[in-house]
Amino acid sequence: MEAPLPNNEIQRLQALLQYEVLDTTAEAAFDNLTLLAAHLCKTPIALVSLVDSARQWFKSKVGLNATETCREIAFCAHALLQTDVFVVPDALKDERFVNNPLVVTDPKIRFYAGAPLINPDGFALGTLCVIDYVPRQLSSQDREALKILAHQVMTQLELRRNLKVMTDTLQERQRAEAEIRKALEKEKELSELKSRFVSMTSHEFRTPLSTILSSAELLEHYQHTLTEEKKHKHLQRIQTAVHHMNQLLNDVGAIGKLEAGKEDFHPVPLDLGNFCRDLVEDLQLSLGSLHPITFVEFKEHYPERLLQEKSTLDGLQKNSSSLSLQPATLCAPLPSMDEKLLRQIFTNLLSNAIKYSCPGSPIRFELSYQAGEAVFEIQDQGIGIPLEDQRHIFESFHRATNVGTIPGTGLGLAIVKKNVDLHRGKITVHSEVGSGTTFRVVLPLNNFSVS
Amino acid sequence: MKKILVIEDEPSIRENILELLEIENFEGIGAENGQVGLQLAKTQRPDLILCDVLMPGLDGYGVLQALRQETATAAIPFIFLTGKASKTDFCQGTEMGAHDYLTKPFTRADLLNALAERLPRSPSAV
Repeated sequence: MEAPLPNNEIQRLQALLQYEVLDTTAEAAFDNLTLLAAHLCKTPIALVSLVDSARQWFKSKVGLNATETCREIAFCAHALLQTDVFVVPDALKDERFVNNPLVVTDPKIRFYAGAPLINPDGFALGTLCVIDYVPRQLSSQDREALKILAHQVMTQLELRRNLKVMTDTLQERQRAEAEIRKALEKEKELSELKSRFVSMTSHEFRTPLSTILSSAELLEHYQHTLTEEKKHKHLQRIQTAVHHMNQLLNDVGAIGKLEAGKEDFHPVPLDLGNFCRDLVEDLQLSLGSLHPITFVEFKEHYPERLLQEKSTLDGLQKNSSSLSLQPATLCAPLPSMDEKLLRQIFTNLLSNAIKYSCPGSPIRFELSYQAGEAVFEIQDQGIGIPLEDQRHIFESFHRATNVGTIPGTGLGLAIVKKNVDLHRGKITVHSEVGSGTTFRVVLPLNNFSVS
Repeated sequence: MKKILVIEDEPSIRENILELLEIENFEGIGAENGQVGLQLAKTQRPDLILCDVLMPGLDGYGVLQALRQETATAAIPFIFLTGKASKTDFCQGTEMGAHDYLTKPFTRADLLNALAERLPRSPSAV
């Protein structure tokens, strides 16, 4: 006869699951208790049985091979319904169990005594039970002993659960601690970088300020002694120093914006070839023809898709002079890049090429394409960058040891690098002192998600 | 005429100091970096050295240390020119044997006063 379900069955099942004990391996703590129970009650079989929705599962067993049986035929299901020990002295004489398969066939149970395992919230999770093949009576001492042992089984289950909770919490805390440590390290690093930047910036400003002060004082105190030429020189010095500070402010501002992530990133369809040509033209205008810059675009490997789309649109354009197509549609197949940032990158690199080479020395600016990327190369035949400096040139305020009197803020390449990073591109340098320098910038085409 | 060695990597600063020294009747010698400065100190035996702290390569501290190690140059009055002005830097410098500090940007008066204070009173052997 099947035992009725306890009226708190749903909560009872939930409580059982909290212990995460079903289908786990045998543990000495429980095996010791079943051994002791069998010994005390002098029975061949003792079990720690846990009853879930469909079965009883044995966490520990003595004298039995089975690991579980279905709930309908479980004696333990009856034991759940009371707080006291449930005893069946002779199963064959008990109408509830006389036809039970466990009685009629193996293991041929005759005697059963089960003490329910009641957790601190009052739910019966299962039993500690003893079983015999012959009819028996349970003395009151044995009954008490069984209850005490059942209480111990429950204690073990509680300890086990608490240990797991504590271990999990500890691991979680350790993980959190490691992350905090990492974040602190990063903070410290950033703070040091900022502090260094501030001190270097202030140093960089003191230099032109010193020049302005000393030139102004010389002009003031020695105006009758100084030659016209000397006076002119000092006035020039003052102005140059002011320009230098202005450039410094611009560069520091640009870096600050880039670092703070406040630099707006607006990719627009851009014809790279035309962009580069325009840029070179602007620079040549402002610098005269002292430095001939040659720009070449290699269109091999220009992304096929873009070429096809462009030729389709070109065809459309030819036949549709009466249609008013939006400029955006016409430009659709072009790569998307932020024009302002690109301008910053290549104006800087080209200016450097000009600045660090002799007048008349040629500069080559090449654009080519490969596997969804645009490759820009700027090559000069200037003073070159010493190997030792090459590792540091993208750092703020770093200037190569061979720059001599050539002016510079030391921030240009730092700005370039940050811009390249913003485009998710790469920049590399090849250089030899006395021969020249080549900067190579690789930028992905069309692979942006506007943030 | 007192001989002053000016070790300063920034050309306009160095030239302006030398110009001031010349007008004020000093013999000024310029060095564009620490290495050259050290050499000139040994060969020219100036009466006083003005030296920038932050220079690429051999910095001001390095120059001072090297000078103090040779008897010929150990006693030459030494004034640091620096962009930084913290007390710790000052202490470090004086511990190493520097006599004074001038913080950039320094005035003509600052410089001339420092020279007046630090130059040896007795005529130097030229």
